[in-house]
Amino acid sequence: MDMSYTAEISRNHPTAFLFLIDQSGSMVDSVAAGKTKADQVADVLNRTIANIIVRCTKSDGVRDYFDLGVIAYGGEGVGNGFQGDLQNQLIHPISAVEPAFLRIEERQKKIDDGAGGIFEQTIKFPIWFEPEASGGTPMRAALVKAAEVVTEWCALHPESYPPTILHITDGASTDGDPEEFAKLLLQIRTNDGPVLMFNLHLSSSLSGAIKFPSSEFALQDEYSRLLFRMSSVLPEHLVHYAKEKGIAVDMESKGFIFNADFVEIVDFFDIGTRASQLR
Amino acid sequence: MKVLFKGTVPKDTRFLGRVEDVFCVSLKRSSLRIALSDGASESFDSKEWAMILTRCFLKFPSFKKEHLQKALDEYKQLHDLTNMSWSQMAAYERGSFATILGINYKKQKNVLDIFAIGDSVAVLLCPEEKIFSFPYSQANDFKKRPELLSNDMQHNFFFDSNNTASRFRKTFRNINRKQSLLLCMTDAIAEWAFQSAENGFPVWSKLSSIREQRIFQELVLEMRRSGKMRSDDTTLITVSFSRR
Repeated sequence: MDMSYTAEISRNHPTAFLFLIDQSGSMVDSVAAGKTKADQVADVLNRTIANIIVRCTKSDGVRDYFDLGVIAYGGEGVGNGFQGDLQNQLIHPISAVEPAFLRIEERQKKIDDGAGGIFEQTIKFPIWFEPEASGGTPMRAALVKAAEVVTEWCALHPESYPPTILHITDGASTDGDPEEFAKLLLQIRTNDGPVLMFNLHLSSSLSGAIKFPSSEFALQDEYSRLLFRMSSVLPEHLVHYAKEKGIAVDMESKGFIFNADFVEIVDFFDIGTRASQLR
Repeated sequence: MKVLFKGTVPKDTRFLGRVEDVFCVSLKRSSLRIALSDGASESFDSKEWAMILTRCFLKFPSFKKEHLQKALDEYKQLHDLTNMSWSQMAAYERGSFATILGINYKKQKNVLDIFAIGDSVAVLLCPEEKIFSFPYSQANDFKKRPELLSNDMQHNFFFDSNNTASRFRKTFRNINRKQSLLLCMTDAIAEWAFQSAENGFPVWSKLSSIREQRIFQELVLEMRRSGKMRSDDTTLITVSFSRR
C-alpha cells in the first residue's frame, strides 16, 4: 500500500507551494474579455496567494502551515517573482507574505443574501504581482531553478508533505524541451513522497476549459499535451478532495488544467478540520 | 452523578494557549449539564466561538434557533472590524466554526438528552457491554467533513426548528445508574475508539478507567506516535450516573 502524501500539514511540518510563472512576450496575447494572458496570470496568482493566506489566518495571526515562493521567467531570465521585502530569498513562510503586498485594491464581490438575491460587497484585494510580459520563454532554466529550490526545501523538511509546484504558462518554451527536466524535478522528494507538479495552460484558443484530464487525447495542441505529460498524477487524497468540490476526476487524472482557474487547488491541502459548509 | 475525568491534550504541546476544544460542566444535586465544543482549525476565532456555544448550551439546553442567534450576537460584539488587516477581515467573513455536544441529564426522571452538531461524540456504556453512541457510531463517519455551527447564520441553514429535534437530539431513558458510564469525546479520540472496536480491540474499558491527566496524555501521545490517532486537540470527559 502506497503511504505517500500522508504527512500531516502543520506548523511543525509545513508544506510548500512554489509557483512557476511565465512572463514571456507571448503573454500579451488576449484570452478573454480584453484581458491578456499576463493579466490572467497576475489575477490567478494574487487570488491564489490570498486564498492560501486567508485559510491560515486566525484572530491571533497567520499560522505558517505553508511556505511559499514564486519563480518568474521571461525576458529578464529566471528570478524571484516577488518584489520589495520578499526579494531577499525565494521561499517564505506564509506569514511573511501576508503583509508584503504591493498595494491593496478594492473590488466588488457578489454575495448571496441567503434569500434568493445577490448583493455586491466591497472587499480588499491585495496585489503582490503586476502583469508582465517580455522576451523569450526560458522554461527549462525555470525548471532547473525550481529543482534547486525544492531540493533544498526537501532537505530542510524531510518529514513534511512534499512541495507542490504550480506552473502557469502558455506552453511555448524557447530554451529547449522542458519535459526531461520536469521528469527529473518530479523525482525530488521528502520521506512523504515526490514533489507534485500542476500545470495551468493559458491559451488564446476558444476551446473550453479542461480540468484534471486522465489522458492527453482530448487535448487540442502539442503544448497542452506536453504540459499534461509534465504533470503529476493526482494522489488519492487529492482525487477525493476534487470530487468533494464536484470536479469529475478519476485515479488516473493528472494535475493539468487548460484555460481554467487554479485557485481551488489550494483547498485540496488539508490543514485541519474544515466545515462541510466551506467547500 | 460524578464527573470521573475531564481533560484535554493539545494538538501541539508547544502551543498550549491555542487549544480549541472547550468544555463546561454544571453538576447539581438533581441534574448534570455538559457542553463540549471543538473549534475547527480552518476558522477565524473558533476558540471564542466554541466558548460561546458551550455557555449557550448550559444556559439553554433546549438550544433552539433563537438561542443560537444570541450566541451569534455575543460573538459579533467581540470583534473590532475597524482594526483588522485585510487577511483578518477576509478570514472573519469566512467565519468561525465549531461542534457542539450538549448533555442534559435529569436525575429524578432518569432521562439523558444528548444534543450534537458536528463530530464530537457521546458514548453510553451500559451493562452487558451494550454501547450506544451519538451522533456517530462508526469510524468511517469521521471521514466526511462535518456540518458545524457557524457564527454566520447563512452557514447554519441545516439548523432549523422543524428538523432540530429528530436530527440533532437523542434521548435515553431508564439508565442503569450503577453500571453505566458516559464518555464525551472530540473527534480524534472518538474515531480511534470506534476504529479499535471495529478492529476487535475495544478500548472502552481503558478509556473509562482514566482518572489522571498524565495517564490520558501518555495514551494520546503514544497513539499519535504510532499513527493510530490523528494529531488534533483531544478531549475526554467521563461521567458516572452514580456516586462511585
